[in-house]
Amino acid sequence: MKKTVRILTYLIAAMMILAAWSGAATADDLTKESRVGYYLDTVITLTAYTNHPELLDAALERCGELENKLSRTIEGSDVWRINHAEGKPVTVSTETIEILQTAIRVSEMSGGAFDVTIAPASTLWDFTSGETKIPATEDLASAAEKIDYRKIRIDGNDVTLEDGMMIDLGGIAKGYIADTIKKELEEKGIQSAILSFGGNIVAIGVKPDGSPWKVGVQDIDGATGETMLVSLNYGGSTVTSGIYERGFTLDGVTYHHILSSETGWPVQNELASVTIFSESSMLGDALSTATFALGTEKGARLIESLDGVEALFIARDRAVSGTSGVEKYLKEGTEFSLIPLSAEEPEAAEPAAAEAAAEETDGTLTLLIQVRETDTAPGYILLQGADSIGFLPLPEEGERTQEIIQTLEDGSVWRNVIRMTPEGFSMIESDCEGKDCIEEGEVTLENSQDRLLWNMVICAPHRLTLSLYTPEEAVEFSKTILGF
Amino acid sequence: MARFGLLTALALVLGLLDRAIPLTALLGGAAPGIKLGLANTVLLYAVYLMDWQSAVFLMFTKVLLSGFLFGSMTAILYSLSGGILSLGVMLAIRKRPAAGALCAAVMAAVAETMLLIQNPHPKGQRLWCVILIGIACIACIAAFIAIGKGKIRGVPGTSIAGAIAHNIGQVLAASAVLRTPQLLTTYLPVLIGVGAAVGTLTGVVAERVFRAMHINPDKPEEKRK
Repeated sequence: MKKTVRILTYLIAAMMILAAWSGAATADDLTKESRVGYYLDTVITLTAYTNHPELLDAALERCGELENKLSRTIEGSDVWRINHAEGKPVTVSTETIEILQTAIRVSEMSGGAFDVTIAPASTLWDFTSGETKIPATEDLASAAEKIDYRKIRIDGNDVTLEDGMMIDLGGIAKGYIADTIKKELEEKGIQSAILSFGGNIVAIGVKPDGSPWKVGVQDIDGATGETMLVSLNYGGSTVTSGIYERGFTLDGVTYHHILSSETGWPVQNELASVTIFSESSMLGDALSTATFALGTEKGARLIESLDGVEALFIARDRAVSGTSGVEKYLKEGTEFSLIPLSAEEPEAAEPAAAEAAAEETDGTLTLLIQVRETDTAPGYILLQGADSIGFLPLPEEGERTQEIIQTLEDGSVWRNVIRMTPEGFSMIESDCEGKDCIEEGEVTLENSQDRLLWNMVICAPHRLTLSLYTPEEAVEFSKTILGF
Repeated sequence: MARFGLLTALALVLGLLDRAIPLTALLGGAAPGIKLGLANTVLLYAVYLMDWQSAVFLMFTKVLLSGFLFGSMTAILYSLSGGILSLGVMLAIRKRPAAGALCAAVMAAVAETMLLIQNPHPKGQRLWCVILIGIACIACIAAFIAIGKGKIRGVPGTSIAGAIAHNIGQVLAASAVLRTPQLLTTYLPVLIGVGAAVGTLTGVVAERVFRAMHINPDKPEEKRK
């Protein structure tokens, strides 16, 4: 009996030491918390250093509320009611009025290059279903005649459009939601967060270690999700509009979602993407579309006329240029106004591309949360980490390495590197104990039934599971398991 | 108390030896996380020659110490889950090792059937995995018969059941932590087979050690006084 008591005492002491050990690691530090949702056709990722993760859940719910007001397609939303009023005035929420006023301001600044009344044309296009269908020229021409922001009448909370006109807040609403969520999280005491709304990324403060957030600017070949260069965010907004976001390619022409307000056709100029650095994400969102439509020269002139706003232009030939103050938003050593990646010599540029891809980024979603029927990669790796999940497309040709960095709440950083080919992938580096994951060998679409671990490569100490799926399986998996 | 420290140290050293033998690499990397489990012989000693509280304490000490010294919090989670389940099973069946060996044989057979059902045309690595599990089945049944006839004592039976339970516990923890329930149908059968095989090995080693020490595991009091 005495012995039992003694052993129990030791046991309790051991437990207490263990508890103190794990407690010491987290008591002072804030925990890195992430929440992912799908609103406004976009994956929303909210990441904050906080001890109150429920704030992020509430913020996601708020995104849903705002979507219900601002969506063009949800019946009964403010925008839906405005579009179905047939010329009569509609009373809407103050939020919608605020967005419309900013939209009209940017329309005026850009001489109509950005126009929220684009909806008659944008509804003719379908960039999301994956069907490569081009609207009839005459339909687009008659739709374009109805586009004119100057005909929006706002009186108090009443909005009136001419019959046949429609608005689409797609180019500005995400920015508004981003600003709203940021403001509300700040009011609740969050001091360090990065909030990603597809192309809109806003930050609260800087990282807990005082360094700026790193936001990757996607390579113009969006299918690979590769990072072309890394921008910095000191607690403001970073918005990118590009031809790769939504669209399709037919007969060598890229049809993307940024439409000309004059013709209703996708804007075709030298640009592949524009990134706007600003304080307000709503303004940045509208400006990114406006600047893209204006082109490099006129766009830069518009941005230079505004205080506290800078722009980065990436041309279709990968040439990078920016406005006069853009340098502070770029990682040291980033070359701009030059051509960092030569289009003629992809072989020579490959090491640089691989390096850029290996760069740790906080904001860009290089993981697809959903694989659609229209996605073209030969296979998809389902990545399940300690607090992340998503699909990584296999490259369509050649070989690519991808670094997977996980930052844990206790500050430890776990690093894995995989090598991907069109056939499959293998783990090539890991800083885990044992390094069993490297020994597990290559998974391909061919051999996954013959391996002991089937389609998986597991790094158990890093809580990382990578499993390979064919495009069909990945689409199915997106629907059934992830709930889309 | 001195015996306790000695056993802990021995378990830690054997644990290091387990790590040093790259069984995973020897198997072509096909099956990660596989170890010989030599450290388990120490636990077997505790199960048979000490009271259950000491065995539990020894297990916790070993897992936590080796985790903090050589591993990570995640590793501790996996080992703890395996350790608790394994020790529970071993303590429960130490008096009835023949039943334990039979259970282990049934489980290994079920695992083999699962693998065969999932892939009716095994080839490559999958094939030798099936062979491995087959051998494990036979070993378990042989142990059962031998124990029943009194040819060997119960240690290997207990050891096999413990090793299988350990692997089940680890895979349960891993599939929860990694959020991959598919591990239970794909990898668990493999680990059950491997558990039966290495359990037989460590059980025989422990049996030999007991004999060399002139200890009768079934009546430890005879020697210990």
